[in-house]
Formats: sequence, C-alpha cells, structure tokens
Amino acid sequence: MPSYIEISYLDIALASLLVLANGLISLLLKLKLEKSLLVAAVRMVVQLLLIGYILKWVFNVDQWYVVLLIIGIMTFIAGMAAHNRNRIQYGGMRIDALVSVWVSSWLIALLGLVVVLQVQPWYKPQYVIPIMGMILGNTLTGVSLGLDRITHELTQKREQVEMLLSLGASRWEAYKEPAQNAVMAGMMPTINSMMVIGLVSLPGMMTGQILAGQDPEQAIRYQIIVMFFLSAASAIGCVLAVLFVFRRLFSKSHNFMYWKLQEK
Amino acid sequence: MANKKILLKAENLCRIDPVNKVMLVKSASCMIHQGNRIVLSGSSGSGKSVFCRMLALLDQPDQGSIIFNGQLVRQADIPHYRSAVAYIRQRPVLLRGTVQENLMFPFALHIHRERRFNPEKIARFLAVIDKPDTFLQKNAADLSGGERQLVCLLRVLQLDPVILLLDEPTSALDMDMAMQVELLINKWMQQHDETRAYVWISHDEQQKKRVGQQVWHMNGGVLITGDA
Repeated sequence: MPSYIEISYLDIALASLLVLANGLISLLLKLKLEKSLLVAAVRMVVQLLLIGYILKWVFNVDQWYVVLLIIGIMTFIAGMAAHNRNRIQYGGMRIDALVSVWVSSWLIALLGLVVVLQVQPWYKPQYVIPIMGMILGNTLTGVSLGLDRITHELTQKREQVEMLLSLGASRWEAYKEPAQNAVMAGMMPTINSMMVIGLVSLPGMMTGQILAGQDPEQAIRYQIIVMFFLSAASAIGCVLAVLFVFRRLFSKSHNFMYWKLQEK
Repeated sequence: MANKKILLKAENLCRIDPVNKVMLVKSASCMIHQGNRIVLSGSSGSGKSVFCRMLALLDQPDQGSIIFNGQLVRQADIPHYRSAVAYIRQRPVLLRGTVQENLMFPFALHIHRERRFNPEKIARFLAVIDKPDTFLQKNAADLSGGERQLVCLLRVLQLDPVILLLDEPTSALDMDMAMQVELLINKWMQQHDETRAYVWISHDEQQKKRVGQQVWHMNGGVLITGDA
C-alpha cells in the first residue's frame, strides 16, 4: 500500500509561490531575470505534466512498440543534445554523436534490463523508461564532454599532432594522447559522482524510491546497479565518439585533416 | 662529385585548398639529388609551405606522384617516408619534459622500434653548436626559441633523414641562433659526405646566399626549378 503523501494541484500551487523568492532576488539585484524565470518555471511545469500524461498512457497501453518508440525519441533527443553543446564542429559530428549515444545506451540497457534485472516482459515500461532515461542522461554527458574535449585538444595541439606525424608516427600514435585526455574527461563526472555518492549527494532515484515507501535497502541496491549501468554507458559512448572522430579527421595515408574542424 | 643519385622525384603535384577549393600548388615537378642544397624562395602565400608539406606528405597531393629512392611512395610506407623526408616547421614543438626526453621519445614510435637512442651521436651534434652535456637535462619549457628549434633539429637529425624540408626554421630567431641552425645543418651534410639534401624556405637574402647552391622559385602556386 502506498505509504506516501499524495500531492494535489493545490499543493503544487502552494509550492509554486516559492518561485516568487527568485523573482524578488532578481528584482532587488536588478538581474533582469524575471522573464527567463517565469518562462523556465512555466516550461518546467508544462513539460513535466505532459510527460506525466504520456507516461501514464504508455503504461496503460503496455505494448513493446510504444515503449520502443518512446525510448527511440528519447535517444534521438539525447544524441542531438550531445552534438549541439559543442563549439568546435566537423562534418558528420551530428551522426557520430547520435550513434555513440544510441549504441552505448541501448547496449547497456539491454544488458542491464534483460541480464541483470531480468525484467518480464522485457519492455515493461515501469522499468525500461526510467532506467533508459537515466542511462541516456549520463551517456549524453559522457559523449558531449568527450567530443568537446577531443575537438579542443586537436585544435590546440594541431602542431603537436603534425610534429608527431612528421617524425614518422602513425595516425593512431599521433591521436593517442588527445584521445586519452578526451576519454578521461568523459569518464571523470561518473567517477567523481561514484566517489561522493551517499556522502554528499543522495541520488534522485533512490530518494524517490524511499519517498514512495520502498525499503531503503532495496532502493540502495537499485541505485548501485544503476550507477554501474551509468558509468559503463557513458564510458562506452565516450570511447565510441572519440573513435568516430579519429575516423573522420585522420586519413588512411596518416594525414590530419585539421581543416574539417570549424568553430561555430 | 659527379653521378649523384636522384633521391626524390616529384611529378605534377597539385594541391587544392580543401575548404575554399582554390588551387594552391599547380602541377609542381622537381628532382632532388644527393648533395642538393636548395633554397625555395617566393612571396608569402605563394604556396611554398604547402609545396613542402606536400613533399613531406603531410598534406596529401590531390594529383601527382612522388618517387623516393626509385620507388613510388605507397600508403603503407608513409610513416617511414616521413621520417626519411623530414619536415621542420617554423615554430618548434616540444613535448613536456627535459631536452633528453624530447630527443628520446621518437624511439617509442612503432616505426623506429628497431633503433636506440644514441647519446654519442647527440654529443657530437652538441659539440658543433657549443652546448654542454648539461643542456640535455634542461627543461624544455625553459629553453629560448632558438634552443627549442635546435632541439627539434637534433630530434630529426638523430633519425638519419635523407632529405630535410626546412620551412623557415630560423625566421623567428635572432642572427646568432640562425647561424647555429645553419652550422648544424651544414655539419650534418658534411658528416654524410654530401649524400643527403635539403630544401630550405627562407626570406632572408643573406641566408639564401649562405645556404643555397641552387634556387627554386614559387610564384602563385607555380614552381620554377630551373631544370628542364
């Protein structure tokens, strides 16, 4: 039986009054943020209500193709976001970002849901959608950071890369150091969050389960496996992205095609 | 000395700017023989640098072929080719670490795995430019621009290149340092009994006279070598 407090629209209205605090700060400090604040608050409410209705519908329909469609759309949006955040771009970066996010997150979700959690049936939306959402969010960060770092490294270290090539380095030897730095940059946030989890931060999923009346021990177990999903998916996504960049920017004749990197 | 071997033969090399599709080098052909000390002159933007980068295969020619030691250079040979036809850029690039570490790292590359760092060889070069052995322990970050360029040269010369492509190696250096670079390269030519060669891009008329025995011109992407 649900042992949590149900939230009414009146409760939401009450909580929304708190946004006035932000408005007041903005007015007092002349930050001119009132308009953005209002738009952001309204967007937040509308987007969440909307997704709430969609989720309710998906849960009711309970069909594999609907679940696939929803996570497909989520994956697409995550892939686009991983690309859009980067200032230095190259032709084909959008598709590289999308494929990196897609392959890594779906692979890990498949392993996690089917092998580890053994969800029955495999498409059960109650599990698939929230876990996919968390995996995608992290993969997006990993891929985006990796791409951002690699394009910056290659732009800054163009002369070093060429120096290595002119000493007889293979294209891979010339790419290795920037690639290592980029993969490291992509993996750091997950490692850092695993370091302090439970000490500084109580993750949202676990908190949510506890609020919903779940046994904290089970909630924590869920959190632990999800953290492993997240770290694996973001690392694989980042490595894939860095490999795709290598294929785009280094020719088979060991040339560095630096001109393909363009600042937005 | 007669009968100097042909080291490199380039035919109809063309390079088109990959971004704006402008023709940068138009059908350049040339031959480099053992012992050649070639100066490449021409106004800036005339395509000298692109041409040299193309000879080093750092920029892939859009057309044309390069024959090195009598053989067409194939894709798989490119890393090896680049260590034999070595390109030296105007701005020296060193890695973090000491001078010695910078001189040693090329031996970690796959292509040089059979070779070993040779301190005696380096010592001989250092004697030419009047640097003490302690120079090797200096941190690369503390070197002057000229010293950095000398280290870059040593790094290449120790690998026994056959042709040096020198892309304004001294244009950012003061007179003394420029002379040291010239001295070092001259020494290298003599050491190998004039069996090596270089192409040197320079804007300094005095330097062109000192280092060049033959002059090539680049004008609007067209190379004039004086050969028929």
